[in-house]
Amino acid sequence: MSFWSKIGRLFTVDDSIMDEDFSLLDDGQEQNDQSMKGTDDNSGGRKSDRTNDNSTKIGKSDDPGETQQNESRTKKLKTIKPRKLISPTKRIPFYAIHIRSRQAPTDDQTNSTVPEKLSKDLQVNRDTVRQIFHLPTNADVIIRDFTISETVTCKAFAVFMEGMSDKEIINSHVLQPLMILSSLSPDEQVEDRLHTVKEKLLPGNQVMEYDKWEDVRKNILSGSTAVFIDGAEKALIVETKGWEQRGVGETKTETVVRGPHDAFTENLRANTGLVRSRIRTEKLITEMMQVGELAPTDVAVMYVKSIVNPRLVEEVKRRIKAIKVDFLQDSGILEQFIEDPPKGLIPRMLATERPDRVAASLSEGFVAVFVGQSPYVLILPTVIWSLIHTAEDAYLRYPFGSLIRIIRFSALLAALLLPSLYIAITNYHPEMIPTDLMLAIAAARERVPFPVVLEVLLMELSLELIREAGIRIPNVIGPTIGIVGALILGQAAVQAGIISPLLVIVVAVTALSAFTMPNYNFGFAIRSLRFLFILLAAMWGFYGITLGILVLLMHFATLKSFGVPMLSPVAPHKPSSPDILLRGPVFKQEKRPASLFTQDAKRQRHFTRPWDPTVRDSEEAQKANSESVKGGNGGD
Amino acid sequence: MIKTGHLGKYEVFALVVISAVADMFLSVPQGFSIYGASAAWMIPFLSMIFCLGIWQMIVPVLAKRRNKDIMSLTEQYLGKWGTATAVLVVAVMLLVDTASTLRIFTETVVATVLPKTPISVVAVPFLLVLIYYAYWGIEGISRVSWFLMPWLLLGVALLLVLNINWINLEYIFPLWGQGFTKLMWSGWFATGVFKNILFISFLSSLLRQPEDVRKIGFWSIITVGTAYTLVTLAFIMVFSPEAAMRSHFPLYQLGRLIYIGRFIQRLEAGFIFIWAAMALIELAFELWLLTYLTGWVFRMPVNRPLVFPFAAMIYAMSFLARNFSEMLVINSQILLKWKWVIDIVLPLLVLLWVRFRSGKGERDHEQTAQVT
Amino acid sequence: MSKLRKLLSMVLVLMLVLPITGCYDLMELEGMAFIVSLGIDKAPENMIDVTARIAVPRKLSAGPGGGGGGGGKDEVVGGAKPVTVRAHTVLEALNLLNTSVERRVSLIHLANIVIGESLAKEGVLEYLRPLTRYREFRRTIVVFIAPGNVREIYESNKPLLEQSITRWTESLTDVNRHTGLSAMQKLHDFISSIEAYNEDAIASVLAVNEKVKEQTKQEKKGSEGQRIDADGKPNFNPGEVERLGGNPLEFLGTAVFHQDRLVTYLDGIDTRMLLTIRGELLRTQMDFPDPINKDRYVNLEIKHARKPIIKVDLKKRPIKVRIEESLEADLNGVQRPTDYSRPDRIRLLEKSVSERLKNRQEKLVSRIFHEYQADPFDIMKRTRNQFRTYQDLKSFDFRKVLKDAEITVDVKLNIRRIGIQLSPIESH
Repeated sequence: MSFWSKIGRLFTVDDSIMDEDFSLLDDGQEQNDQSMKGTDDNSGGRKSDRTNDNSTKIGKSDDPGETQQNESRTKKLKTIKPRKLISPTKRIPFYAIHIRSRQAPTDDQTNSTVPEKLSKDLQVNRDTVRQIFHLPTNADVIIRDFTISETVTCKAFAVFMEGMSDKEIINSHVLQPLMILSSLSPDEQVEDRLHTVKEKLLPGNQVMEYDKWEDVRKNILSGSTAVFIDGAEKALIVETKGWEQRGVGETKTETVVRGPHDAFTENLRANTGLVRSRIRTEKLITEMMQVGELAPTDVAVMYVKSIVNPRLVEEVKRRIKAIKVDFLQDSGILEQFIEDPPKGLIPRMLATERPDRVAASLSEGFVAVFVGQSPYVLILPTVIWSLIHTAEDAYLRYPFGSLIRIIRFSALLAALLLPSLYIAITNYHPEMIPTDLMLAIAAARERVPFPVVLEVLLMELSLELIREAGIRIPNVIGPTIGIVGALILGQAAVQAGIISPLLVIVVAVTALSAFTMPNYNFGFAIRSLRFLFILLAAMWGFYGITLGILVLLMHFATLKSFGVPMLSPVAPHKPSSPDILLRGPVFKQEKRPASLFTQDAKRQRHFTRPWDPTVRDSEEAQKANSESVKGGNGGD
Repeated sequence: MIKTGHLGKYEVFALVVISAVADMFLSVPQGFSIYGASAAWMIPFLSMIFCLGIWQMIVPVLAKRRNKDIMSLTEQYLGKWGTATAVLVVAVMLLVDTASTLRIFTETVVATVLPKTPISVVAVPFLLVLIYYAYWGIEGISRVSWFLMPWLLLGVALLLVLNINWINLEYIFPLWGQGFTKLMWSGWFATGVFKNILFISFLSSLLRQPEDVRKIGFWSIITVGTAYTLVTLAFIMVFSPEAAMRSHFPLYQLGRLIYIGRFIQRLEAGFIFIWAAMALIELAFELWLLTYLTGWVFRMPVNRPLVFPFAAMIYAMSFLARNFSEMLVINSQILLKWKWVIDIVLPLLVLLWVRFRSGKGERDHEQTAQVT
Repeated sequence: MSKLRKLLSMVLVLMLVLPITGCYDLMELEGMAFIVSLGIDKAPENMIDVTARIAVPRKLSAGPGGGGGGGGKDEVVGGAKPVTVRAHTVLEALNLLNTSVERRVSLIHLANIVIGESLAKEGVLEYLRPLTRYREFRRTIVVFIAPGNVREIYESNKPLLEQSITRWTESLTDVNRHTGLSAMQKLHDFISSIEAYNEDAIASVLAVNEKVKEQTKQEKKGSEGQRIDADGKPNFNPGEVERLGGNPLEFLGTAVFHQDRLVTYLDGIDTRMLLTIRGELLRTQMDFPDPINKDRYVNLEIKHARKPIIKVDLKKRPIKVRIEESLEADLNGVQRPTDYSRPDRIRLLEKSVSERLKNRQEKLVSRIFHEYQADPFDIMKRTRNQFRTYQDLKSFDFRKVLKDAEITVDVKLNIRRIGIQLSPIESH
């Protein structure tokens, strides 16, 4: 059976990736497709065949029908490849694991006995807290017992996490008012105490009541203080978050000369605040959700409600919610969970540390995703062009913006192709070099014992080595080592006759070009692809490079980032603002990216400078126009 | 129904233009100069005019019926079997054409830039890329072609402009070449290079706005005609018609001749990018179309699995000819001379038939529909 | 099969296969010997002597530590002595060259080709045909015709300035465009002219000046005091320029072909006339006899005002050729203190010069047409537009009508500027 299914699999073509990809087009335009799909029974049958096939391959399921149902229900949400979770020896049906992993926290024996709701009895509550947080083993959780007011002794205790909550706030805004300044009237009902405390005694800016342990637990874990009062079935949660963190610092990787210098930091709310302070509109929405089953991480999805395509927000949330992972560390990890197929080296979303860039993107209709303590925010979807843009392009006047973009684009080509072109020319097409230069290269190469390919590879590898070492070496000696590595090594290698001097120039230019890539991930992609091109050039010269470029282009053309083709608006062609390769004047940036299908396609009015007398719609022109109209009317 | 995705008008335009123009890097201009001598440049020009007329005749059928391409139209009026035969004939033509182009292309690569490499080492990676392209489908191919088209045209223009110092105006005389009537006939035969007409009629249903088909057709015919005219003109003026008849792959020869001072010379290897890209797009598109047509005829739900067997067939067929010159003879004597029957006459007849059969009433109805 | 295993096996297969499949054409620069100049000369029994000059890789600038085998300046250009082999064809000769040259011989950096007179007289196409098919050989190289032995040309070539033959060739092209003393032709033009109907090819001439060669030999021996011939006159014939010192090789004059056979040479002045008729004259300085002061000369810098108009009446027998030239000139130098800035004098000078040009050109064209039935002037090429169809052109035997063609040349000269001095300096 398994053999034949494997054979059958060879003849089954997995078209589902291409058929089911997500598109931002609204349903009206997609109607044709839908009707096609609807009428086509065969393709539906094929799909279910495929899923069946898949499941049998992974492990024999006890109930195929159920698997299929389960499969079809979670098909859209499935992001984890079930295969990876399975160790081949156990052969557990993957859906079982799926369910188990979802239930894992509740299965835990300590939590299983935790009651759902709070009890009236303070002591019971105290025990439950101790049980939940594994006291006294866990030293981070502090329980502070105290008594409210002197007239009526009302026992209470506060629970907070050491290190995650602000001691100042707890002392002066929770404990002090409750213990010293408070007085509960004796004739008050026990049930109303909680209310009174909340209304009169706790001056904290956010105080909430919860009666479920689940909520209380989450809030304590995120740094709030929970106040339990004797006789109350609810706990008061006072917002006392405040852990040690870096302040808003300077940009580290996306520095600009002209433009703001602040960068995101390791604090989610500070990050969202940085963006919100730039886009001050009530339409800017921040949706919070949590990812992670062992320990949840906050994920914030931010967008401008009146602009963004609602389908895009839905899709982003759908993908984030579907992530089933125990712990999510960083936006770099979230990125890998939600990026579109097919696999490739090019990043499908833009990670930036610049709040201004996020703000600009949000205003264009993009969605930003903030992850927990990550100082990098994801902007999605993204197109390839924006991976080589910087924030500064827009802040400079447009001729200079265009100039640096041209330089950067040439740098992109150089970083990708220069070493391979060198190999192709010297090894396959030496006629292209002017004769004198060719003779000089040949003379320099006469002492070199390696073929050009090896020479290039050696240099490229040592360069990557210097680069990697430069990052790892402690800051104090970093620059020195860089100089030692780059200069001395290069010089010595040339003098020793291991490499030819011209190659040092080629490799150095390539390295410089690679450093101009503004996006870290994209730079990585380019650097890795460079080696591929070196290989191709070594085998087929220009012909190989050409084929490589064409494959890469096709790859780019089929890449999608959240339903947006990554080469758009060039291919597929969409009307767009002059902001692709060159930077047009800012008053011509009228359209939002058409491939996002935003609710409002126009970014600004056609005439942004009505004061300018040379503009057709200027104030003067309008005045003159209205006067002439008036005059005409008067004449009549 | 095979799912292909939708195509924008610019992408389709670029795709059909490149697929039709790619042949000019191979032996087509040489064929023109054999038939037209000093007037060879007029042949594509005349063909262009013929094709514009033909397009004017058939375009209403395609433009007015939303979401119908030539195949579904034919089926509607010609029946299942008639359509299947017609489509299969086209498929066979495509197969032969693709195989011969693949052979000529790889032979050209071997002859020019990789002389010592065995032909299979050149052909196999190309075939793999071809499969990759055809496998990912028409959407990707069309996007790549639109992305590349400006650069490719720029490269061709550069190739012609950099040869300006070799140009001899006298070589376009005698003006009428082999004689006026012969010229007209050659012009008619050469309509076979305007493959774009056939291609558009197959792709019309994939357009987002089927009305765009009219514009795409006209502009692609004009672009293809102009490109062929200019290239042939430059070829003749640089090489003299006498020499042009004796030299295949003209654009490579033009590339070799570039000599503008000490630095701008010997650039022909750089131009390989242009002709390899064009050939790849053309062949990938033809391979895809082949699978699409076959899948359509046999009511297959998907066309992707067909890519592999067809690629293998093309590879095998491309090596049927014993040597390069035999392939060239086949190409210029048979394909170039008779391709017009399928490229032009077939869609013309079929669409005219549809036009007449659909009757006047329906046309009136459509016109009113269009007005509203 | 797991993904990793699949990937690993693919990498393995690639690693095994790639070195076998690829790299057929890979060649390292230092593994090749680039021929920069190729000479072909006649040898007995349909064989040829092929002389090749191979470029020797050398540093662009020798650093203090580097260098090594730099060699003295006296050494022949390019570093290596030319190698000559005898073979049936050029390509065979390349193979034979490799019996003594230790690196792969390649023609891709070829800059010029020198064809011996004896071979050129029998027809060059036979030897060029295989080369035009060969991919390493390109049509942008310069063609030289060498009266005498080709090997001698290579041995006596000692450029004053240039060190590489490629640059030397390029510089020659540039210089000759400005002097107009030699019509440099690229191989493509040369072959096209042979191949196309109604034209003939030309090529520039490289000749060894025996006197200078002798003199340099003497100098090497140590004997000084060579003087120029007492009764020598300025001479524009290839290989006969009156001079001492410099490169024993002279680049002067033009070879005229009939089909693919060399028929005659033109000297420097005639080459200028040829270029004037072809419309390829750049600003060229020429000396003319002073119309007022006999035995003295004026120097003019001449260029085309517009391309010459050539009218050929093919209907008449004999055919009538009329060449209308319109030239512009700057007055550069006048020996005598005659004031040529006066309008009447200018007119006089214009008339005398154009008369002289006209006579010389008429004589030249008639001589070449009548004597050799060759048309290096591109005159008949411009009659192509008089044929309606290609068949007419093909069947037209232009050489027959050249025999008794009647040529009239009409030169309009306009001296526009008179240099930077108005009236001449006079001594008192």
